[in-house]
Parts: sequence; C-alpha cells; structure tokens
Amino acid sequence: MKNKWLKAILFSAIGIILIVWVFRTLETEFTTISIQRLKEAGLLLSQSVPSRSYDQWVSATRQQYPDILPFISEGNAEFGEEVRAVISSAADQAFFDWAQSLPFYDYGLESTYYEEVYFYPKRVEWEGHPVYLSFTPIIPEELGYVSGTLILLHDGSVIRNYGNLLTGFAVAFIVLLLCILFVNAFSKDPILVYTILIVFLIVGVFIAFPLYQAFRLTMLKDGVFSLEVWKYVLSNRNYLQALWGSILLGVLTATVSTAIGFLFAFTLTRTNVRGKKFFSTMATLPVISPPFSLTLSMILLFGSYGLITRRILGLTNVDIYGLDGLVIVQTMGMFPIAFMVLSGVLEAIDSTFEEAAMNLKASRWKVFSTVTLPLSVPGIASAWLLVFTNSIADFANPLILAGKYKVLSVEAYMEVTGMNHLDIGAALSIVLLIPTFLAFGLQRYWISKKSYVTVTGKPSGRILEVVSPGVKRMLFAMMAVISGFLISLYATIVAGCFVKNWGIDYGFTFDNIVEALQRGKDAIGDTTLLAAIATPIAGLLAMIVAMIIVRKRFPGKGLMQALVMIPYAVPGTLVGISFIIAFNKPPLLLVGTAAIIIINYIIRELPVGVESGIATLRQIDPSIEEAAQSLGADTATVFRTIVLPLIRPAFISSLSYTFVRSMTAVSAVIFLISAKWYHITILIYNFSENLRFGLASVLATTLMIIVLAVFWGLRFFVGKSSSMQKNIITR
Amino acid sequence: MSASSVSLTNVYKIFKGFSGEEIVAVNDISFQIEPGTFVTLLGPSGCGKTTSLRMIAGFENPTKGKIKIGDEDVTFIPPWKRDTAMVFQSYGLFPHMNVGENVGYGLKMRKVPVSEIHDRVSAILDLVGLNGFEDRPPSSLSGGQQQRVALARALVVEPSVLLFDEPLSNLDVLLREQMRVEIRRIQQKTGITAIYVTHDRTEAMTLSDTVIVMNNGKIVQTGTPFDIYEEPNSIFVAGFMGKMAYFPVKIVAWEGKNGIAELYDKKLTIRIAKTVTPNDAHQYVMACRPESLKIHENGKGAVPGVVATNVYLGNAIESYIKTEFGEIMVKSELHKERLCPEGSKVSLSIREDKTILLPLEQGIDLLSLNKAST
Repeated sequence: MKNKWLKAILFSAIGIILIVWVFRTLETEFTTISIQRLKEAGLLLSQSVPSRSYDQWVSATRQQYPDILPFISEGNAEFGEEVRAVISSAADQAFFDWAQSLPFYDYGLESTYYEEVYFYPKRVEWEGHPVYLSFTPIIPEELGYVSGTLILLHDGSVIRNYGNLLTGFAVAFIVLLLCILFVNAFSKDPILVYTILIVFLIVGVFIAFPLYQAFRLTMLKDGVFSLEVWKYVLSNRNYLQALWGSILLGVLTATVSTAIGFLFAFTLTRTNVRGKKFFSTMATLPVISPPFSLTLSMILLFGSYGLITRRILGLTNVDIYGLDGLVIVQTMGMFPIAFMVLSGVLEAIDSTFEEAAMNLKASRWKVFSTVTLPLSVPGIASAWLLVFTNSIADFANPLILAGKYKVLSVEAYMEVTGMNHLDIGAALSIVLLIPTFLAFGLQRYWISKKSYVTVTGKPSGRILEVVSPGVKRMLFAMMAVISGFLISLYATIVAGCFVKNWGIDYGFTFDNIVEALQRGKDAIGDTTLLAAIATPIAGLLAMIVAMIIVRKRFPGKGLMQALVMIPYAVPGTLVGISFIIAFNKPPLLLVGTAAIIIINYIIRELPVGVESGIATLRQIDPSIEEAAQSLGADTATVFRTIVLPLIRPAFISSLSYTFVRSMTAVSAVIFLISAKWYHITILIYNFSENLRFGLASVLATTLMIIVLAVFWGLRFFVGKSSSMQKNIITR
Repeated sequence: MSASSVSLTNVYKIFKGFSGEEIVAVNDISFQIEPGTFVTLLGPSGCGKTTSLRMIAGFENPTKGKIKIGDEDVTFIPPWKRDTAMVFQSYGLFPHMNVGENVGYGLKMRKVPVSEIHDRVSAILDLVGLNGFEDRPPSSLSGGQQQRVALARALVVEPSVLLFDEPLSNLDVLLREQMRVEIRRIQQKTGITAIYVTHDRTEAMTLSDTVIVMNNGKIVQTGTPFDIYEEPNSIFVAGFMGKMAYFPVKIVAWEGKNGIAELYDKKLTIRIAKTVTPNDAHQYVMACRPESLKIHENGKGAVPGVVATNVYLGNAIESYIKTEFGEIMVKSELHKERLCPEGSKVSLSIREDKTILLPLEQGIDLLSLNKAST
C-alpha cells in the first residue's frame, strides 16, 4: 500500500515536472520568436520616421498597424540635447506619464542613444491591455545620428492568449496524468473507473452544463445577477396566455387520448373482437410517424382549401388552425402512448378478480364499474399525465397548426429565432418544465402508492367476456371509425404527393416528387447520415451506462442516473435552446457543426436506451458475468462478449428507437441546424409554411418509408433473438 | 495443475446498509488452506461464508485484512487476474454460447491456441461425463448436466484454486448425492485446492478434508468432519451438525479432561470436548447425539420421562421423550429395541463415552435448545 503511494507520487512528480518543462519551453520559445519579430518590425518602422512633422506619421501608422502604438520622444541626451516627449493629444500625455513611471524607461531611452534597440521582455499592462514596450533609435538618413527615440507599444494579447492556451493544455495534461496514475495505482479495475469518468464527463458537459447555462442566462442582465428576465416573462400577458394555452391544450388532448387509449386497450385485452392485430398496429403506428405528417393531412383535408371542407362540403370560412385542430392532431398522434400504458395495466389485472365478482352475482356493468375500472385508475392517471406532458412539450404540431392560438413551446422558438432573445426563450422553455415536474411528482408520490396491480409475470391467458355482445359491437365500431380516420390521414399525405395544386387543381402529376427529391436530397442525406452516426454511439453508450448502473457500485451513481434521465423529462425546445447558449463559444464552439446535432440526438435518446438496458440486465443472473470474470475476462471483455450479446434485444430496440427518433426530430434540432447541416423535418416545415403542400407530402412520405423500413427491419432482428431471451432469464 | 495455498489474515467485510448503517458481514476471519485440500465453509445463511468466498474470488473487496493465494497478495487484484475459477449456485452458464464455447471461454481468455482449446475442452468434458455435448446449447441440458458443464468450465483453465458457491443447492436430492461423489472424485483426481461454500452439513461432511464452521461473520470452529461432528466446541456447532440432546449438569470435580457431572442423584464421568479447556467459572451441559441415548421401560436410566411421540422412519424409530429438560429425541434401530407405547413412563440412559461437556453460553435456554429441531 505504502509502496503504491510512493510510486504514484514519484511518477506524478516526474510527469508534472516534464510537462511543465515542455510547456514552459514551448512558451518561451514562442515568446522569444514573437518578440524578435516585433523588434524587427519596430526597426523597420523606425526607418520610416520623418525628421519633422511627426504627428501626421504617427496617425498614419496607427491607422495602418492597429496593433502597434507608436510614440516619439525627441532629442539625444548624450549630445546634451533636451529630451522631449512629442505630445499631440491627451492620450499621448497619459502614455508618457505612465511610461516615465516604469523602472526601465530611462534605461530604454539610454540604450537608443547607443543606437541599440531595447525591448523590455516582460509583458506589462496598459489601460487594461497586455502590451510589450520597445525603444528604437530614430536615425534620419540626412542626419546620420540618433535624433530621438521611437517608443512602440506592441499588442501582447496574441502572445498572452497563446500562453493561456499552453497553460490550459498543461493543466489538462497534468490532470489527465494524475488521473491515469492514481486510477491505475489504486483501482482494481481501471477500465471501469475510466468509463465512469468518461460517462460523467459526457453527461456533465452535454446535459448538466447546457441546462445550467440556460438557467444562468435567465438570471442575468448585462452580465450581472438580475431577475429582470423572469419579471418580464411572468408579467407579460402574451406569455401567460401561451402558458394557459399549453395547459388547456394538454388537458384536452390528455383527456381525449386517454379515453381513446382506454377504448382500444380495454377492447383488445378484455374482449375477443376480430382484427386485434390490426387494431393494435393502428394504435401504435402513430408513435413512429414523422412530425408534421398528421398536421399536413389535417390541413389538406380540413383547411380553408381542404378536400373535405371546401371541395366536398363547400364551406368557405372554416379554419382548422387553432385549438380544435391541435387537439385532433395531438390526440391522433398521442393516444398510442395512453394505449400502451393502459394495455400493460389491463393485461396485468388478473381476470380472476372479475371472475370472482361475477361469481358473487355482479352484473357485467357492475363488474366493470366496481372492479375493472377502479383497478385501472392508477394506470389511467399515469397515462393521462404522460400524454399531458407530451402534449405540453409538443412543438411540431403547434408550430404549423396553432395559427393565432398561443402555446409556450412555439413562443419560445419565436423569441429565439425571430427576436434573438435567447434569455426569454430559455425562460419560457423552463416554465414548460414546471407542469412536467408536477406530473412526475404526482406519478411518483401519489399514483404509484395507489396502485393495486401486482405484476405476476404470467398473464393468465384466459379472457373473461365482461361485455355483452351489443356493447362489444359498439366498441368495435368506435375503434373502426378511429382507425379509419387515421388511415385516411396517412392516405391523404400519400395522395398529396401526386396532386398538382391541392385545393385548386386536383390533377395528377409526378412533378412534386421530382422537385421535392431534387430540393430535398441534401437534407435527406444529411438527416440519414447524422442519424446513422448517432445511432450506434447512443446505443452502445446506453448499454454501457446501463451496465455500470446495474452492476457496479461507485460513488455518485444516483447522480449519474439522474443526469442521464434528465433529457427524457426536458422538452426538446429547452434542450435546443440550451445547446445554442452553451456551445456558441470556444473551446466548445459547436453551433453550426454536425457534431452538435449528433450530440443532441445521442443525449436525447439516451434515457430510453438506458432504461431498456437496465430493465433487461436486471433480468440476467449476475453470476453469468462473474463466471466470465473469474475465467479471466476483464470488464471490457465481459461487456463485449457477455453483456452485449445478452442484452441484444434491448440494444437493437434502442438502436431502432434512436434512429427513428433522430430522423423525426424537430423541437431541439430546429435550433441547431445550419446552412451546411439541414434536417428533413425542417424542410417539410418550410415547404408547408410556403404552402407547397405537395412537396411537403413527398418528403413526409419519404420519411415515413425510411422510418418504417428501419423499424420493421430491426424488429425482424429482435424477433429472431427473442427466443434466446427466455433462456437468459434465470432469476 | 499447480495447487496453491490460500490464506486470509484478519479479513473484515463491512457493507453499508440502506439507511447507512454498517453491516459486518465478515468479522475478523483468518485461516490457512494447504495446497490440494478440500475445505468447506459451513454455516447458516448470512454467516458470511459466501462473502468470504467472493472475496477470495475477487468479486468483493475486503474492508480490512489481507488475502493471499500461494505467495501472492491478491487483496487488490481484480478477479480476472486471479488464478481462481468459480462454480456458481445458479451455474452462470453463458446462454448465448454452446457447451463447447462455454467450457472453452476461459482458455480463449488465456489466449490458448484454438486447436489446443478443442482438445482440452473434449478431455475435460470426458472427465465430467459429458463427452460429445460440445454443440448443445446449455438450455437443452438438465440441471445436473448444466452444473457439470460449469464444473468443467472452471476445471479446464487449471486454476490454482477452485471455488464452489453452493453448487448443488439447485439440484434435487438424488442428483445432489451423485454430484457430491463426482466433485470429490474429480478433486481427488486433479489434486486441486478447493474451497466449497454450503449450508448443508452432509455436503460438508462428505466432501471436505477440513470444515470451517462460521456464524455471525466469525469462524466458530475449524476441523476435520469427524472432529466437527464428534467434538463440537460449542452448542452452536453441535446443533448445526445435527440433532443433539442437552442435559444441564453440575460439575463437582475435574479429573484432567474429565468432569464428574451430577445428574439427579447419579454421578457420571464425562469428558470435555477436545477443543475446550475446563474452566470452573463456566456452566456446562452434557450433550449427546440421539443415537447415544437409550430408552428403558423401568427407572434404570438417569433421566425419567414420558414417551410423547414415536415416529417410524423405516430403518429406525425416533421417540420424543418428555423430560424435565424439554422434549428429547432418541433414535434407535427398530429391530433392536422394543417399542415403548406413547404415554408410557420410561427413563433415559446416556452412553458416557459418547457424551461430551459443552460450555453453556449465557442467556441460552435449554428447554428451547432441546425443542429446536434441525
């Protein structure tokens, strides 16, 4: 133990000395060379000094070389002449007053009498600027002797910045060296420690730091602490109206979606209607449908030039833009969330309860209202809250369809892109967080305690028909109507691709496809490329994080888990805004690059991957990994040869999820795109804004095809391996 | 195979509980295992035996103390750099690999050439009786076969120490007995050092050269199976190794290792357990196994009682006799004894040579000791 300490300290001492020596040498070398160049420049300059009328020369030189400030002092004390500063302004006077107070001033002047250039090698501070001072003799050709001294103030900021950069590097190297030495000396498992440090670095820099920066910006006014921004935001009628708008929209959407979700979930788990597979596909498909697609077809069908409103019904003053349109579109897009939550809950409720109730002579309606419904109340509440938070954070649908109706996410976007008010945008999107956190708290502390459902793991498989045939037919009809509506929405987009000018000329054409693909091919390429880069990184990172969270003990694990999960709760708008706030200056100048988009994809989709990795890994007997360790596999090898193959289903589904979500991202990415790196969804938005619905339809359809292809393709993979998964679960 | 010694010196393991309290799982244990011996850590669940084994394997770090394998201090060496191999209770077979890949995994990690891996895997599968199972997935094997694969996988890397963590507790009784014999046979054949953790005393007795009995994170007794069974040093060990009958006695005098004990009006000469030294300040109980007691229909025995229940076991009969010291079980071979009907008054005689004196720890209630069945 003692030996190790000694060794580590010795090596780090040697390392630090080496690093300091190398960097000091580099800095001195650079400074020497720079000073030499400055000296030569001064000498050259001194030859152009005229013997009379210095003022003109001085002002001309200052204009020509802004980083060199020349001052002149006349006379040569060696010859008994009077030495006099040439002063033509108050600034000159100030300079000479200051210069004469410097200890080397006299020495500098004196050197010039011997026709020598004197360059003071240390940096001094003048009016807050880092400068170097040089004294160069003025030897006019016609005189042939020293007639005065040219005093030059050289800008020292380049040298200083270079020095700072080197110091920064040196510090980074030393920290890295210390890390490596001490981790290697004192950790049983250095690879694990490095992994943990790197994960912390990633979540710290790309999750905690931007959010902190965004929050900080809202607390600042002209660089000092102030609540001005918040005062403004919270007292502005517009914003309060938008907040109310978001909440109202959320409540309506959540309520309707939960009702429809329950309809589907109940009918599919508690009755034996026909076409279950079809209906459950219909109730999950919208989750992966690209943004704007449903909005787009709503406009095409029900807009002021809509197929149904104008063409078929002949209405002229309908307006789909606004709250009603939004509720319809969001419901169609989000009832699947409620469906998935509720079908899980209903499946978990053992039908023995219902059988018991019926056995006690309860009528069908009584069974439903006194057993099934109360048991699913916690599920209904959490489904409602989940849709509510999703609706509030939604950005894509309101962006196009809100019209005059105000919601917070769009307001935040307008502030940032329209007015360049980053602070207000950040504040508005932070306000968006409040309902989300409230919902989360409710879920955590109230609903979870009310839950009666215990998951037994084995669904009984029996279905007790708790509804009468008549009711069943009614439920079936309702599902059919909703599914039909959904299908017609998708069909409209496809139809939109082939129509000349929707609303005016319904003639058939291929022009849209040609033009859209022509104009969109770069965006499609960019989007696919960036998503393809982000996908494996996010997937692997998620699995690594899942493994260290489930299997390893280390300080700060709770913090890591919390940080990783944050992007799940934070609305995309806030993520986007905080990214442009945090990464717009060196050394993390990422705005405008592909990297910022990729990083954004990765951290936003990380939580879901980590969650599914954790869930899968918890099912796997840890002695499988321990067996590998005891046979000689280190942590990295265990991950590669054991863990990754075993959690392949989670890995692949996280890959497909990341890819699909990245391809269809809007809310964060809209802040991060640049002329160089564009996103297909934003192009769809632009086309719809310019009423080029045909082009928008083509791109939306293309996106749907890509997403579906990837989704089904990967699902095929997972399907193959699901038989293996059963063997893994030994606990 | 180079068998190594293993030694633990003053090892502690302290876990942090959920509310931050300290849980001492292993409390200052030290022992030395000679190369090539089979040692069992025996004790009830939660006694720290598995934690100790996991520290030897490297899965847990000791809070304090030193662990050596051979001459090497391995206290801070990760599991994959230790020359140990472990056989797990739940087998820990890799479900995504077939039997051959499972067994060959450790060799692959050791960068053994592929052709050699193949030969060694089939040789070791031969040894455990699974010849030709290379291409089968583990899930297609029975529990016993899976555990053989796990054993083969640990053996094939020729570790200097082989570790077993209750490897048989997931198997049914018959298979367990069969595997017990198998494990002992293979250990003898390979001469490997083996450390075996179990709570099953029969496993410990049949397998080990040395048994280390643990309780509450401490070592209670170390010895050969014979010593542990016949010469327990405490009521805990005696009780853990099997049913015991306890009688409180007054020691009137010591004759070397023999105590003159008074029970009712009879004087008995009972030796004190080998590992215990007589101490006048202590209280003692007489302890003997149920098979060392004899029922008399008359008052010939030392302890009077009434037959409460007779339990017929086929080869023997267990009689529960109600006495002043609680219900005492007597085991007798059926054909030798005449059965005393329930409710009849009897007396118990004690075989003095098969009885030992054990110190009675404070606060232990004899009545409950005699009632507790193991």
